[in-house]
Amino acid sequence: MQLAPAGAFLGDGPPLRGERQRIAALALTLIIALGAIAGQVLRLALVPRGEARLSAVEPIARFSLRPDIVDRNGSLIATDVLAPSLYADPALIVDLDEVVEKLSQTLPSLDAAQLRRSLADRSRRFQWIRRGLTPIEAQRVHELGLPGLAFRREPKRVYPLGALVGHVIGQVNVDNRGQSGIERFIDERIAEGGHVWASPQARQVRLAMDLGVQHAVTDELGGAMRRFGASGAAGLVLEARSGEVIAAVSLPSVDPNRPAEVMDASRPDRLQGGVFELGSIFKLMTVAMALDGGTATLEKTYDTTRPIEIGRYTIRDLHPAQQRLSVRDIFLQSSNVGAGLMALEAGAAEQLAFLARMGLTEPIRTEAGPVAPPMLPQRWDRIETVTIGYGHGFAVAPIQFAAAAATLVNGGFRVTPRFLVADGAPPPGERILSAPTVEALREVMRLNVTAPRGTGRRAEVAAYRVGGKTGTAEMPGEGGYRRRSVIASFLGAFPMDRPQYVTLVSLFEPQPVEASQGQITAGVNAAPTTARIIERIAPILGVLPRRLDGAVQ
Amino acid sequence: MARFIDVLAAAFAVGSAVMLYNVSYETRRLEARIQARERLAEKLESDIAVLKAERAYLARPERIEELARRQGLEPIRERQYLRLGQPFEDPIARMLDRSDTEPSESRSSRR
Repeated sequence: MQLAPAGAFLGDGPPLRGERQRIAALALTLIIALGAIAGQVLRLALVPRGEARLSAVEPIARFSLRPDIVDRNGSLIATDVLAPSLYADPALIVDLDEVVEKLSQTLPSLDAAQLRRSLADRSRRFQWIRRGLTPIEAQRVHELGLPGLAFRREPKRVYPLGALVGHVIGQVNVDNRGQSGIERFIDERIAEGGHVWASPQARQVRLAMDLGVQHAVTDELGGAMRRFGASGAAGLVLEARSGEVIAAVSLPSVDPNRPAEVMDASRPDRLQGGVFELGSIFKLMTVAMALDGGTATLEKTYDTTRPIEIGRYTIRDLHPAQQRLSVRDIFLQSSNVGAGLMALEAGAAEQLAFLARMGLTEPIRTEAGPVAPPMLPQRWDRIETVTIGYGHGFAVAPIQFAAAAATLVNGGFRVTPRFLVADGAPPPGERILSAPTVEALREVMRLNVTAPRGTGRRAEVAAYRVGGKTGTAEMPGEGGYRRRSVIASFLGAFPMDRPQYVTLVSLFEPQPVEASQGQITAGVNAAPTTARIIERIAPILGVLPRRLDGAVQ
Repeated sequence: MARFIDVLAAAFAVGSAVMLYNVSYETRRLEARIQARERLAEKLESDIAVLKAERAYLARPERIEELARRQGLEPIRERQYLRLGQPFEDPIARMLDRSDTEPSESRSSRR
């Protein structure tokens, strides 16, 4: 095909009729096309369109919020608020001396020397001075009118309830990241790509804790500390079957708003941060072992009239029995000799195996962090078997013991303490104790509170059928045990005919005061404290008094 | 004809320039409005967070307990439970009829 020379179509000479038509057609096409563009422009200008609006702006960087923490009823425990943080641009500071002087006057906790050092380097354009100011502090600094200072609003974790929830929550650092406790658990779960809230809309972490119960336990424990002159106290309320922690109190408590308190060694988390020899409440395990292993029944008797002598050790009871005691009476009178004999009869291997089965020998962890690992004896010989039989020589964190004790009353199912409400029904723990064993344990625990010779009779709240075991353990000190320094504990459960809740109350170093008839044993301090707690929390937990419950006991 | 097209094209050019200016002006105006709204939303969110925290602070159990006790309220006791249908002493009726004041025993049900 031959190419036409340039201008062949529009060029010389009068255009032909066909060409004119073609030009007109071309122009028409152009007009339509341009018209369409103009129309579109017009439409965009006049008709408001949602998408156009959104794409017009850069997304504003949102601060990343931590999820709120609420209790089982939805009451707020922790939330984020935006708080002003003060920073400086050293290059813009006019008079360094003035800035340092005025700032350290306005914010007395600032270290003037360090402030001067950090602001002296003019090559830096950004220097934090103090993060998370209160609005009042920020206003005062603002009123100084110093150039080079500015604020940035940052999320800050606040705990409106202060020390009430205490150790469990843990703490966040200055960047609002979880460092310990539940706060750390939240970060770890989110980092794993998991979620911690029940529903994505809510974005709340729901604890199993009931703030009303938590407060009642805190209040009663505080009262008990004052009444009995104790240096510390711990209280735990567990749901017997699911292991949900309804209340967890360790006094003196810590306020998570004050990170220094959380780190303070004089305010330890006594429930899961340390291990203790818990004393006679451990006899629950010994009796359970003997009953479940078939080496004893409640009626079987042991010769508790003479001390046990092993090598150079002699184990004796404070008030030795005049005749042989049955297992039931060993439990009620809390006879060390009796428990020791029962342990010896089963043997060290069976004892270790049983404690392992109850989950007492392996370290566990909860959502609030790792639990202090149990301390087993180096040698596990006859003497250790005896002392562990009545709760010495084997140290365990109270929360781990309470979970094992829950198994003893809940029908024999394994329990893992959990601080978060389980999504749906928690998986049922495997059955590790036989039904007759559990029945027998319930019987002696209840009897220990109702019988005149029981050590736990001051724990009685008739309406709620309390049962349990006392334990007074001497605390180890330098060069042996300290006689007058004890941990007085009561491991309780209610209502005993079908236990729903397990309580553990421990008083650290109670004094022989008038309120406890000059004694320091658990029966006169921890037991009545448990009674006061249960009387107060049972209505909150919806446990009905006996005469309405239809239960027979 | 060609001239007519030229004029038309020029008119379109000017017209679309004006429209374009309008669009861009409008866009900037909207952008500013959006930013203002976003700031407002953020401020409201932050205010809500503060109010939530303050509400929780005011509702802390130790404070509520004190207030409740001042009103003469106390934890529920066993005798205050009644079965449905169980006759009970009506405190208002008692107030109205002072003569009928013998305290009724809480009825323990027998089985």
